Amino acid sequence: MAFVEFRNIKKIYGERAVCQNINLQINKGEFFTFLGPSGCGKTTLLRLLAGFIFPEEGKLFLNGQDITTLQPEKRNVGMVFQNYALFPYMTVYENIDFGLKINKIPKKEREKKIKEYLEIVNLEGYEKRSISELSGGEQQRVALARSLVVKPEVLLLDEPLSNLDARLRDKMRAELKDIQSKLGITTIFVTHDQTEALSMSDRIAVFNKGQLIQIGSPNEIYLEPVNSFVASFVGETNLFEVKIVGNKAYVTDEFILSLPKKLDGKFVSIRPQDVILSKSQPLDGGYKGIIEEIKYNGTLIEYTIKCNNIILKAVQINNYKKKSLISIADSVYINIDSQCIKVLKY
Amino acid sequence: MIDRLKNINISKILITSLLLWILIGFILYPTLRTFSVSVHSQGDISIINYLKVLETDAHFTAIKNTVVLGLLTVLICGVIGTALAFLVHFFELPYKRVIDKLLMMPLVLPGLIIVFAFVQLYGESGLITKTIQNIFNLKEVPFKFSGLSGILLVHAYTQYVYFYMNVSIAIKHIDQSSLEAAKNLGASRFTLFKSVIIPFIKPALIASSIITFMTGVGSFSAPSIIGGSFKVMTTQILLAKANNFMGLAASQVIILTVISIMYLVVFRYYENKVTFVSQVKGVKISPIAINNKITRNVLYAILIILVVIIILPILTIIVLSFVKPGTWMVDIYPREFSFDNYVKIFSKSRAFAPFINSIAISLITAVSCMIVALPSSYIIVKAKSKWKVFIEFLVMLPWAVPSSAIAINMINAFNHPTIFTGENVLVGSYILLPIAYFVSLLPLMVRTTTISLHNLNDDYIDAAKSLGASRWKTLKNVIVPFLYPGLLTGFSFVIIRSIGEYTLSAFLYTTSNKPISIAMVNGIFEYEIGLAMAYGALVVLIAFVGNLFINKIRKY
Ligand SMILES: Nc1ncnc2c1ncn2[C@@H]1O[C@H](COP(=O)(O)OP(=O)(O)O)[C@@H](O)[C@H]1O
Ligand SMILES: [Mg+2]
Repeated sequence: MAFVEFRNIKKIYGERAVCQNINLQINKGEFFTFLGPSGCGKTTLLRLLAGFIFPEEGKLFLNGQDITTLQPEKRNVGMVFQNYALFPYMTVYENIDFGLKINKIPKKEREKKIKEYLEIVNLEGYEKRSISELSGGEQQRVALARSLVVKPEVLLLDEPLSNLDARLRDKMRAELKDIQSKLGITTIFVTHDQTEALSMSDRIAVFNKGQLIQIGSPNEIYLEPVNSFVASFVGETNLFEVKIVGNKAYVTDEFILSLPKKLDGKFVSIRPQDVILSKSQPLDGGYKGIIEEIKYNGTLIEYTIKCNNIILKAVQINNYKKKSLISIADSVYINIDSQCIKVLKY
Repeated sequence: MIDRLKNINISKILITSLLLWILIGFILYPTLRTFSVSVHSQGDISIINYLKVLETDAHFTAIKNTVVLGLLTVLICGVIGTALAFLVHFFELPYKRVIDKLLMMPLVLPGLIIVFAFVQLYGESGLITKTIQNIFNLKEVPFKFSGLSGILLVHAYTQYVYFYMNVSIAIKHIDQSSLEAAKNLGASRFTLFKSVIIPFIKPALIASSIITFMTGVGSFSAPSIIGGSFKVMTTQILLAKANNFMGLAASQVIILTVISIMYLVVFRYYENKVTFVSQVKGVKISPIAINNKITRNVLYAILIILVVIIILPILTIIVLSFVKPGTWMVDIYPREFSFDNYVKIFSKSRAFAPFINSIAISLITAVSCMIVALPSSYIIVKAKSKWKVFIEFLVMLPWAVPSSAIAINMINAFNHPTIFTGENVLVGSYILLPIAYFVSLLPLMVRTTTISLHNLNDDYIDAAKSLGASRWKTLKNVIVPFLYPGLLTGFSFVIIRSIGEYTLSAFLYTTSNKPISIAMVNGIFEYEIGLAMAYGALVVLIAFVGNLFINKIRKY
């Protein structure tokens, strides 16, 4: 049975439903991610689960118990806020102590636990610091420790990495995942960053405009997007609206893709790494295009190619052996394996 | 280049010296002078004045009463102001903005006018008192509006606004996420209040308590007019001065000042301890909707009553200002109305003089405050002058010194020739009153200018320069636009505060500069209630226009 369940949830603000028809089941111990663009209702879902707001329709379950109308302080759901929401007038120790004190845990035990959790989040010796003396990353960890120390049944993380700079973000990403798997706590992680979602999650739910679009493992989401939104939101892609006749997909009248078999759909998605470039004409023909732009980002080289009035993106691994011979304004041949073309219904 | 540097340096030195001259001459020297007078008796150093104050029952009681009055004022205003702030800003409320503006109104109304309005409403023969007596057919008046409780009523009305203002701002800065985090960790409503809401508003509570206490112990209008047998230090000081016991007055002034500053220092220390810097950007709280119908209706009823209570005194003044002279003697309610009182003020030069005096003095005060505040705040905020701390101390000192004390300081300092006054004696001259106003209102002006100057980030000036703006262009297009809202706000506040000023005036006015407040008091004692109220209404009018003006000023 699912450990956390959203059953047919709908939330209305004013006249507008900011999320509806939400059905989700999350397993115990899972690292589950809500992914979607800003404003799609991710925070709203977390706040519903934490009990700060209540749904207009539907039910919420936690560990088999209906918690739909339960007050937040009765839910045992831990939340780390986007701005961390540390109490600025308390020290690190007092912040972490807050929830323990409310639970009337004896002082000795509290001290032990706080020490233990400070260790878990790598902040040994920070007890007496005031919040304003901490860096963003450190605040983040205190917030995490404060939520974890009361042993919540589920941990909610609302874009916890969004306030950190890029380098720290990578580090915290690994650390967070590490702590989660060590403690085995069921976690719902909210982000609008697909890289974060793909690299950390056991499963991902993709949202758009208050609707749940797709649930799946990172690999499923990336390789088998259910629609054009997921395909373009998760990972880079070449997305074209097409007309399909038989096993041919017409991007334009000149640019025609052959499909492995007869398929029905309105869009095709081709990942840039599946667009193969070569200087000489391949055996099966291929299309000729002009390189418009080249971007190096270390491991990869990204090309923008203009071909018969359409723009294509391609990437190649930047390795010594294949040392790139292609430069701007070169004409190249484009080859796309029919197996790599993903046809989408809408 | 070097020449120009030299010029700048010379003008800098010149301005700083001039500033120090003024601040020392009119703020520091008078304070020290009073101290010196207090520790002298018949030419010798002695503590006899202090002994007299501490050993005479009447004087000692006044000290006790003053402290009691100060503390009770803090308590009452704290409860009222905080409750109102929560009511208006923590809960969902219709007409929130209007109610907020209304609740801020007492800030611009001179205390003296409120006292008189209250006397007319709740005094022995007041409109409300008589009405209640009539309705219930009482032989005796239902309540007595005098003594400690009377003063406290006036203080509650005129001073809750400091708590209301500061706590309102603090409530708006409570972080919604912090509230939710606490709930998330299992906090009950009580814990939420105690551990999250209180810490967020504590600095505001302490800051408000300081200004309320200082205003409370320095209060003069209410005790002098309705205090009756409840004597406080401010009135005792005037009594001593009237009897020309300057040594006695001086020692009382020093004691009063010390009480005021002691509270300031202790609570400032405490305030700094509980003030925190919030690093992350908070999420604004959304007002809580009250869904229970009964609770909501009770709240609305309370609000309506409040609004009536707040408006009533002002309405009273305006209505009574139209009472035809000599027609309202025995009736409970006045019956005949006319413009006679206003006609008298604007046509009889004797009645018109106080009006003109007040306007002239206010303008002199506001202009001189601005002239002195500008370089002072510049030095406080931007310059690296070694005089910085000293100048800041001097300009802010009058903030902690009660008006009656400032008045006595002026008399002690300028009842003989000094180098600061070009060897002139100022007591008895026209200019002493504006100087006293200037001293007491300078801190207010400096505050508003400093805030503007803080907003004027150096980057803006650098940006203007890098865009090729000349010195003059930078001043005109960058510096002035940044400063003028603050300057104008300060200027208007000074005018509003001066126009109905009573305490300093009661100590220092002469026939040549009798201000409107004194004319009003005289009117009351000569049973020309309508005339007095017309003066009051004019002051209220000017205060409102000034306030409207302040609200219109663009804020950054
Ligand atoms: N308290 C509120 N009142 C009205 N609208 C809200 C409120 N909170 C969020 N919304 C709206 O609901 C939508 C979803 O918001 P949110 O859940 O915060 O999105 P996300 O976290 O995915 O960026 C947004 O359009 C937002 O404007
Ligand atoms: Mg969000």
